[in-house]
Amino acid sequence: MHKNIRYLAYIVLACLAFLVIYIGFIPLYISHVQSQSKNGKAAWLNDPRLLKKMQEKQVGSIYDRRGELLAQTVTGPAGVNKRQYPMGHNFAHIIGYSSTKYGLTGIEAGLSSVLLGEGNLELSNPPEGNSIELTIDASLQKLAVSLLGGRRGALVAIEPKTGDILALASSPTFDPNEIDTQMPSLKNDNSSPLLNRATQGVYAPGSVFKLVTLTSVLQNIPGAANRVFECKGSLSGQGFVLKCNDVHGRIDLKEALEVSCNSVFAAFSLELGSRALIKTAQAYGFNRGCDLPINYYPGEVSGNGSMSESQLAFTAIGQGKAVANPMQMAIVACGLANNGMVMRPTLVKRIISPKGETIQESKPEEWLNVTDPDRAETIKDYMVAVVREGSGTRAGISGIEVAGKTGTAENSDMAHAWFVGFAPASDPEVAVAVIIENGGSGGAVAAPVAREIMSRAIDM
Amino acid sequence: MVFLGGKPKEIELHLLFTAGIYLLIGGILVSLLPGTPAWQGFLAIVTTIGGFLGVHWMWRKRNFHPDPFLLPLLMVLTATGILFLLRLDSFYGLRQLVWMIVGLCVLSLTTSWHHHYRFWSKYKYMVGAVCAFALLAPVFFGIEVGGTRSWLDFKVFYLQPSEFVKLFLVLFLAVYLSEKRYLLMKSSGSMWERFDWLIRQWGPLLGVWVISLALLIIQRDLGMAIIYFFTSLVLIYVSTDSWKWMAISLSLFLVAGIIAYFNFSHVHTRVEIWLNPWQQGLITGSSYQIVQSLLAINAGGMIGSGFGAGYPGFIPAVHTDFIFAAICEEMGLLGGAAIILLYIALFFRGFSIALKAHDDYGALLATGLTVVMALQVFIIIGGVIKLLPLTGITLPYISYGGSSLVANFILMGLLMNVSHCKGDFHA
Repeated sequence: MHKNIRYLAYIVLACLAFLVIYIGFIPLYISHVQSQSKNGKAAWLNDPRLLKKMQEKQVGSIYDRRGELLAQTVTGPAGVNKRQYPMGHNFAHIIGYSSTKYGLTGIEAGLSSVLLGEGNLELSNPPEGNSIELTIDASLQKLAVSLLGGRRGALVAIEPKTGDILALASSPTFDPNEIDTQMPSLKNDNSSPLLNRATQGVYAPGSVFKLVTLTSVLQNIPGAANRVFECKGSLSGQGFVLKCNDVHGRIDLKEALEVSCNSVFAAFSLELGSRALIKTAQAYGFNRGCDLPINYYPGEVSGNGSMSESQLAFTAIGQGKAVANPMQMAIVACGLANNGMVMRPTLVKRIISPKGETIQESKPEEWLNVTDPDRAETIKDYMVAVVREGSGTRAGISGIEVAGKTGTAENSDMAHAWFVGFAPASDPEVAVAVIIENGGSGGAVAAPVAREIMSRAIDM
Repeated sequence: MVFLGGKPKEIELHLLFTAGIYLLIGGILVSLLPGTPAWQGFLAIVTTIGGFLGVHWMWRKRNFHPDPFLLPLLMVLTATGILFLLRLDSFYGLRQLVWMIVGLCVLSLTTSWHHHYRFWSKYKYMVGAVCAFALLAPVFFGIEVGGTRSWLDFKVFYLQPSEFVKLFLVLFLAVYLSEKRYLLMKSSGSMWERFDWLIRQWGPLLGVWVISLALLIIQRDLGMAIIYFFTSLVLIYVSTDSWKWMAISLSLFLVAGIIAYFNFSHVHTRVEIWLNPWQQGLITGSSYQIVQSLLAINAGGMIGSGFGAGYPGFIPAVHTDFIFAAICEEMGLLGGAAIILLYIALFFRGFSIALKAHDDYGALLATGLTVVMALQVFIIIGGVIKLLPLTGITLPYISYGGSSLVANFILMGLLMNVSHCKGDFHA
């Protein structure tokens, strides 16, 4: 009996010791769940402690890349701190809101510990937090919001050489200053103004996905650029018929991108196989997060290599198993603009201490190597032709060479209009992706929006 | 242990003194908190130190020599509970202070019976009947609190009989198993003889056990049911050395668990929450509590936000089941580990008392009492940190709750009775 009691004691004491080890892992577990929630794989509940601290502390301000004030804390008459957003609805989806009733979103949530100055060694009274300088350019952002003009849609503009996100707009939007009073009606609004379509939208990419398919074709099928196809207006395979937008006749790969010929890309995809296509999509950041402080759902190509021929053919033209949002498609454009190398997208340029010293500064960082410079150059030429004489002429800027691709993604309602591109083609300063939900033709509706953004970004 | 050398009573006094310093610092901190009036902290200091020194003094007079580590450990744990309760909500803190006084009185009563600690052996079946009756009462006269129908309403306070019945269960098992352990171990002869043996020797044991469990399941008090089950299992194993019974019982437990999972929605929900509380539909509803608990522990980090500087008020039921999360938030991982270490010290003493007991009855009683406490600590802390599915039980000596505190003081008294020895003490 004594032997048994002794064993029992060992087991009991070991179990209790294990509790201590397990508690030590809870912070790791929490940060894991939090990063899962940023990719949309878990629900997240903001720690109510943050809100409480936000009221008690002098939380840091948020500025754009030129030092324009975007968010600050003001002390109200009763000594209660309140967040104020001078640019209102223009930054609602980036900065988010801070509300005692409805919690925190956007940068306010994602970088709350920075804004609260947690971990700052110097104590001040009242306690102050760090300020944040974003990579966003406020004037470009305002232009983006006004170009979307309340239509359901979104836009992302990135500087391809650095990865700096210059504008990130989602429409319709809301005024974060009035969130406490407007929340009930915003929640019931059918056009979901609270949703950040630019980073959390889930859309069929339509023909803009052909840029991914094209990359995969050039990489995996030798001599593809010189082959000539016969487009009869549709492509039929095992148990499916895929319609083209026209009967294009004899056509090569370059012309196929110009006129966005479905038959050619579908036929090439069957030759590629789903594994190669998925691999290229992953190289472009599909199925992979990117460490943004705001929630970002990366594009997805589902089907893990076991797609049917029909699924594969439709995926290759952006209608099957592929989904993406403007952030994902802007990343694709960045890769092609920057010689096949995607720089890690950043939203935060600098973190500034309460004393005004720079604590942390983002540096351009190579992130995804999508293809080699030669192939990127070839695709760029094709994209220039799209804007010069193909489906994207309305994105053209006089005196500047623009590279782009239009998309008209079919769905149950009117098609979503897409445009993805960059300019100037020879030395890209800005890459942009635009979607207008149910807007119709990408060349007619999305391309002009992209043109305005690109030409303003180049002028700056 | 150099400075502790000497007679057991001196060791006890030294340790009580150390616990007193801990309480003094904590009490002063409570008085300085903006939310609580200064007198409450001082009241806690005076009453607790006075109460425990009183018990120590009484034992000296009566020549009672229990294990000298138990009373100081009891004081540190109870004081931690009272300090945190005063900080969380002084209403509960002050009530807990009253329950502690009641507990100390009951403790001195229990220990004054130490010469008759075999008293129960004559009335083992009566003890069994009391178990069943006490558990049955809430089914007919009880009220439901927090989803479990295991409470009796006495107007001024609620009584939870299952907290006391755990003591009776251990007493019954210790008496029964110490008397019959050799009979229970042998089984041979024809089928009929074996069957007869099974009914005669195991019957009463299984009867009491099954009735307790069934009633607890009817009352939906799952945490307690699991504690009863495993305590019985462990005691049977320790006394009869039979792996067979252990294996049979464990597989029955698994089967019962699976049946409960598919047939009882409250069990199903608990397991669901445990597997993944981060689901859109659950997170603002039924898994809110555990998520808040995890966020609190996460906010605490290594050294915690400091006593009074955290926000444990966001956790529902923080003063009872979830008090450990509050401790982790304000005292950090180190504070939580310190509390667990105190429990480890307590159980270590419990098991060594069992090993040094004069007879089988004493050994089984001490083992049973220690295991009951250990299971309770493991299950509730495991639940609060999401290692196990959550079952609402109290953290012994720390959580708010009159029944729990008084019952656990009696438990400690019984353990002290077993440890009482007149000779020299060796730590």
